[in-house]
Amino acid sequence: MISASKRRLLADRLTAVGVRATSLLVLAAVVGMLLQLIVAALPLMRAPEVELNNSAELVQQSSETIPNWVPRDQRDARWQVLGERGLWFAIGPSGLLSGQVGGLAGQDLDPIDYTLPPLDIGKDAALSLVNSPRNSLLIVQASGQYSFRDGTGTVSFTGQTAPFDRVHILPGDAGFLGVKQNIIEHWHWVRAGDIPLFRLRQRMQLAAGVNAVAIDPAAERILALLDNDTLEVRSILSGENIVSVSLAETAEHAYWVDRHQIGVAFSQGHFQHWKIAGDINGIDAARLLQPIVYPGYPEARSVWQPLSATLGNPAKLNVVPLLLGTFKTAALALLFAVPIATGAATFVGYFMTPSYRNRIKPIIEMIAAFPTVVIGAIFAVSVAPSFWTLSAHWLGALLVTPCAIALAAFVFNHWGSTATRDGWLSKLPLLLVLPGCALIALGSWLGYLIESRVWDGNLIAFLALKTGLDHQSHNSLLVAFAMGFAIIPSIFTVAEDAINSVPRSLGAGSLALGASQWQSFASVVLPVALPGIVAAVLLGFGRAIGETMILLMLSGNAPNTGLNPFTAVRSIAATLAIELPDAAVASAHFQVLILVALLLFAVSFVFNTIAQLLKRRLMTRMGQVT
Amino acid sequence: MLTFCWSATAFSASPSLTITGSDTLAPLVTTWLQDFKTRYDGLRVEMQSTGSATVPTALAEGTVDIGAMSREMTREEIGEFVARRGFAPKSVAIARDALVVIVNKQNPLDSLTLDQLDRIFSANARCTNGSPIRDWRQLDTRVEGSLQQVEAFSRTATSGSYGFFKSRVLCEADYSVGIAEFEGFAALVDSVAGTRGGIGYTGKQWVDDRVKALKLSVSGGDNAPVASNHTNYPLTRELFLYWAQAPGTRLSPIQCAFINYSQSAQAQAMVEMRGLTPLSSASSFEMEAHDFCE
Repeated sequence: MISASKRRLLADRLTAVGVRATSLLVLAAVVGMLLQLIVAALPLMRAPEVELNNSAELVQQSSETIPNWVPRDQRDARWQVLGERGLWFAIGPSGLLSGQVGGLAGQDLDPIDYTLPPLDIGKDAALSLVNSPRNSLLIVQASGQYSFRDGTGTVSFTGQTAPFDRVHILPGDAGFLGVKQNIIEHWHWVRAGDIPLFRLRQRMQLAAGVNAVAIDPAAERILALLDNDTLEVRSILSGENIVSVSLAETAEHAYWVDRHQIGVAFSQGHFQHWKIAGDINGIDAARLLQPIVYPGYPEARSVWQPLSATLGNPAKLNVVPLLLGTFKTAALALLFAVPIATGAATFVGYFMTPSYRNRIKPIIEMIAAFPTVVIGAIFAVSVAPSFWTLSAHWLGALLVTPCAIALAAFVFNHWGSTATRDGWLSKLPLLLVLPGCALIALGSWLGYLIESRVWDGNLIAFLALKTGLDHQSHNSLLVAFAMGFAIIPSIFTVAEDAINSVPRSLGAGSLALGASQWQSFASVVLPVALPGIVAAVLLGFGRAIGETMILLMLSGNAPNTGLNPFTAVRSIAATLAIELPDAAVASAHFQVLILVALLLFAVSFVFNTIAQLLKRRLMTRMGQVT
Repeated sequence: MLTFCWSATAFSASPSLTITGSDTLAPLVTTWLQDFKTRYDGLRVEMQSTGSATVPTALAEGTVDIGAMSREMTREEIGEFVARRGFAPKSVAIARDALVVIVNKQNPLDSLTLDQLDRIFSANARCTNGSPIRDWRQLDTRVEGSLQQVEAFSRTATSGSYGFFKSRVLCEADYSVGIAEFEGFAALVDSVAGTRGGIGYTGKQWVDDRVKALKLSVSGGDNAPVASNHTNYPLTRELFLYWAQAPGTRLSPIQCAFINYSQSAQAQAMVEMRGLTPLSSASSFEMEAHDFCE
C-alpha cells in the first residue's frame, strides 16, 4: 500500500507533468500552425525556372475541324476559334475580307447571321470577335488602324495607333499586342472620359528583334522567340521577364504546349519542350502593394478582384484595399472605444466605492459575452438602414453631450468646494443618468432642427451634393461603432484591473498631503497604471483587426481604397472567411490569402506580446511600490 | 451560411445524401430532400448552401454526393475537375430561374436596359458605349434630393448569381470596386429596402413589397418584360445538379434515385412553390424520361 502522502506526491508530480506537456503541446501547435502558413505562402516568393523536359513526346498539334457551314471551296481560308463560336474569314490577295461567324463542329450552336461584305483591310491584319462593345468584330491592321464593326460591317468605333510589323489580338477583350522590331506593346480598350479608345498599357523592350510571339492558353503570358536565339516568357500584366532560355540553334517556331510547358520547332523537324518549374503564378511582393494599370482600367489602381478572373481578365491580387480596410476600421473602432472604455475603467477602478464597483464591473464585462455575430446582426437590422437618415441626430448628440459635460465640469469646478466635489464624484454615474439622457435627446433634437433648416432636411445628401462626398449604407464608420461596442469590455477589463491594482496606500498618501481625488489619480495612480492601460488598448486593437463577423455583415465587403470613412471596406478577416473556401490550393490567390492571414497572425502576435510585456512591467512596478 | 440538417434517429451506417451549393437552390433542394427522405428508411440528408462556386472543389474532393449550381460550370472549373479526377462531371437541369433587378420603393424608375445595368454595375462599362452611371439623375430627371447617388449591391464572388450577372450583363468585365457585397440575398434585399438610391439583383423568391422589381429588356421600350416566366426576359437561367461519375461506373442507388426524383413530375410540381420555374413550362424544354440509375 502506498501511503496517503506518497499518493498525493505522485498526483502532484503527474499533474505537473501533465500541465507541462499540455503547455508544450499548445506551443508546438502554435509554431506548427505558423510553419504551415509560411510553407503555404512560400511559393509566392520563389522565382520560376525552366527545365528541359527531355521525355516530352512530339505534341499532337490539335487542329480545329472546320465546321460544315463553311463553304467547301473556302475550306483553306483562315479559320479562328472565338470562345464558343468560330469566325471564318477569307482574305484575298489584295487584302479583301469577307467572312461569317458560326458554331464550332461538335457543338449545337447554330451559325449566327454575321456575314460581312468584302472589306479592304490589308494583308497583316488581325481579327477577332469581341464582347465589348457587345458582339463586335475587331479588326486591327498592321498600319495601326483599328475598327469595331457590327454584323453588317458598319463601323461603330475606329482609331489609329502607331504602325507595327505584326499584331496579335488577345482573347477575352484584353486588347492586342503590337510587335515592332524588338518592342512588344500591349494596347487595351479603355474609356477616357466618355470616349472609348485603344490606349498603350505596357511597353516591353526585348534584347533583340522579335521573330515570333505566342500567347499562352490563359492569355496571361507571352512567349517571344528572339533574333539572338533566345526564348523569353513574359507576363502580359507586368511586362516582366519570367524565364528565358538560350537555344543552341536557330528555331523557326515557338508555341505553348500547355500553361506550364513551352516548346520550339527547329527547321530539321525536331522539337524541344521545357517545363516551367516552380510557381508560374509567382507574384513579387511589390505587385501585391503597387497600383497596376489592369487591362480595361484607364489608370493604375489597387484592385482586389481575385475570383472573377476570366480569359484575358487576370485575377487582381492587390492587398492594399484589404490592409487599408482592416486597419482603417480597427483604428476608427479604437477611436470610438478607447475614450469610453478607459474613462469607465478610471471611474470604476478609482473613484467608485467598492460596493458599486462589484456590481458595475460584471455588467460591463457581460457585454464581452455577447457573440459578435449577434452585435453584427443587431446593427445590420436596426442601425444600418437608418444610419444616414439619422446622421444629423447622432451628430448633434455627439457634439452637444461632451460640450455640455465640459461646461458642467467648469461650473462645478468654479463654484463647488473640494470636499463636495469629491463626495459627489463617487455617485457621478447615478447623477449623470437623467441629465445625460436629456442631453442626448437635446443634441439629437438640435441636430434635427439644423438639418431641416440649413441642410435641406438631409445632411448626407446635402454634403454629397456640395462636396461630392461618397457614402454608402454599409461603411467603416458603422463597423467602427459595432466593433467599438464589442471591444469596449475587453479594453475596460484590462485597464480597470491595472488601475485597481495600484495600491490604495499610494493614492491615500497623496490625499493625506492635500491633493484632490482627481489630482491624486492623475499624478500618482495614472503613471503607475499607464502600462496596463496601454496594454488594454493594444489588446483591443489586436481583437479589432482579427474581428470577422461584424465586418462580414456590416462593412459591405467592397475593396475600396482611400481614407473616406463613409464608404464600404473589405477587411482581411472577412476576405479570408468569404474566399478561402473557394481558393484552389496552390493557386496564387490561395497563397496571397495565406500571406495576409500570416500578416494578421503576426500583427496580433506582436500587439499581444507587447501588451503582455507591459502588463508584466506593471506587475513588477507594483512589486516595487508595495 | 445556413446549414439545414436533419439526422435520423439512428446514426449507425445508415445511408446518407449530402448536397452542397447554390443559395438560390437551397430552399427547393431542402423541400425535395424532406419529401425524398420519407421514401428511404433511416436516410440522413443534408443541404449546405455554400454558394455555387464551392461545388466543383467539393465534388472533386468527393466530400459531397451531389452539387447544386445556379449556373453552368465554367471551362476552367471543368478543366480543374478533369485534372484531379480524370473525367468530366455530369449535370442535369432541374429548374429555371430569373434574376430580378430591384430598386428602392421610392425610386421612380420602372424599367432598365441591359446597357444601363452594365453602366451601373461595371467598373468600366465595357460592353456598352455609354459612360458609367453613378447618379440616378442620369436616367430619370424625376429623381431628386437624397435619392440621387446610385448605390449598387451585389453578392459575394462565390455566388452563382454573381457569375451569371457578370457574364450576361457586364460582358465578363469586373464589377465596380465600390459595390457592397453580401453573403446572402436576404441581406441584399434588406439593404435595397433601406437605401434610397439602392439597386441590386436577387432571385424571385426574395422579392417582397419593400422593394420594386424592374422591367428589363435588351433594347429598352415600355413593353419590357418583367421577371415572370417570360421567355424574352434577358436574365433567365437554368439551374443544375452536378455529380461526379467516372465513365463506366454506376452511381450509388440513393444518388441516382434523387437525380431521377428531381426530374419527376412530383418534384417539378414543388418548383413553382419555391419561386422558381419548372422545366416543363419552358417552351424549349421537352421532358425526356432518362433513368440515371442505368
